[in-house]
Amino acid sequence: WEFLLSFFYTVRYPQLVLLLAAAAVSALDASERSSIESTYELTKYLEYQLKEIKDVYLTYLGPPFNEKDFSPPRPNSTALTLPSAATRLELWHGLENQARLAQNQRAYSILLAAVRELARSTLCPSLKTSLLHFCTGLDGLLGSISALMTTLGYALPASS
Amino acid sequence: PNKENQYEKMGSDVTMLCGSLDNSTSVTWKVNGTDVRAPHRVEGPRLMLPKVNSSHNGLYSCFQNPHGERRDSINLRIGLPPREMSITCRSNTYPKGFYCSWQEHYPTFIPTMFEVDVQHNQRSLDVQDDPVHKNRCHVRFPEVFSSFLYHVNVTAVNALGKASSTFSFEESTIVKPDPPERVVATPVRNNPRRLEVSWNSPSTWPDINSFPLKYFLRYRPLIREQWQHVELSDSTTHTITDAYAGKEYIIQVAAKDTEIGTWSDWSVAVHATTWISEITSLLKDYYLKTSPSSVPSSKAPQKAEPPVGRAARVLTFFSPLMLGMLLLFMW
Repeated sequence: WEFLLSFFYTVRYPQLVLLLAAAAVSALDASERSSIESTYELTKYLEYQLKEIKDVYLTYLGPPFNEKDFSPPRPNSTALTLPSAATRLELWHGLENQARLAQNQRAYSILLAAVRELARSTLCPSLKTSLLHFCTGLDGLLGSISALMTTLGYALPASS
Repeated sequence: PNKENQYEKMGSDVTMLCGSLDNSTSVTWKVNGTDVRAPHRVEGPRLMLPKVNSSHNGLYSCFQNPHGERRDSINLRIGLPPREMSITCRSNTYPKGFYCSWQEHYPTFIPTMFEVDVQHNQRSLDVQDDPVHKNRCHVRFPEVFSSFLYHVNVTAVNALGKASSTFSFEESTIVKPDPPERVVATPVRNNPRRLEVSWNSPSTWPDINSFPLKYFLRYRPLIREQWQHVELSDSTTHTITDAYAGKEYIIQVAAKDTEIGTWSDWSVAVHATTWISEITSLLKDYYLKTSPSSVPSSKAPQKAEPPVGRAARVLTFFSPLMLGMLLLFMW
């Protein structure tokens, strides 16, 4: 659960897609552009959902997690194998669209697996339902990204 | 003999030595060219000043007796060693970098230098001094969306000692843009309840496309205390539709990254007055005047030119009684 909590705080996936949208939009035709924009809107909606679920989940866990100033312990060394959202922007801007989309795909797949596990181990039925609903949204997002990659002629990353 | 600085702690007992003369030498001391007036003791080449304070500051010179050759000049500066400081950090240029400022709680009265060290993920980051502000430095973000904390250590050093303070933060908590710029508010012709407001994102925000800002607009009539608020995403224009006709308004805008950090300070306030029709304006002016034959004031609420010429002509056509009837029909 430490991993999952840290993940709630560290994943900033909308910004990843945002960076994608900014660079990719200019190079594509209308339907591709609209496809990217609707995918981006979906990530904004999912981020909003995730913020709500996070608050409910922390309340469900009780003290000290439900306290106003609670902040999970930060890893202080790179020895931990948590997937990280940290990005060197100049490297990110230099990537091709395919690499960016593939990285988005990977990030959201990791998140989906984590939230599924969270849902599985949650005893509170309403919270379990919310988490599973969120997973459905995430699944849809992964589908959107895959479809986009296929349209653009990119090979889909091998599922882990 | 060269002039050197001697720094001493406030409240301490100070001894000044004249050059490298031996203990049997007799000297005379002067401060800033005059006699030493503060309580003191002279023993050979030494001048003793008990329990010093800032009134003891000055250029002390010693002259060897009996011929009066000057042997030394010492600039005495009374001060304090550094103590703890408050440190704050802010990023108004996200994701490029951030700056940290520190404030001493107690003055030292003597020159004090600051060494700044910033650690992130067990690495020391490069720190640049601010060219203008003495207590500020700048750091570039090595990466964004990092979960590792930043640890800032400021060490104050002067001739009497040193002190360190630290501040740790997470990347997203220090993001605060500068206020929006070039806020412009204009009335809408024939629409007295509207004001069109537009602004620009702060010029210091480096990448508005990848890191969009959202905005908060507040407005109130000059005569009222209570603000009305509107939160806006992305867009840098907004039309207020519930303003009062013919009233002067104050409008301000603030900005925030759409996802992280805090709101900027409010922008510079702009003033704008809603549009009202010429007839209404004339009637208002008329009823404000004590004498009906005087020319109405040229104070025009809107950008359009004040209709002074036309106003004078209208008033000569209508008697006060007729204007009163017109008023009944208008309202």
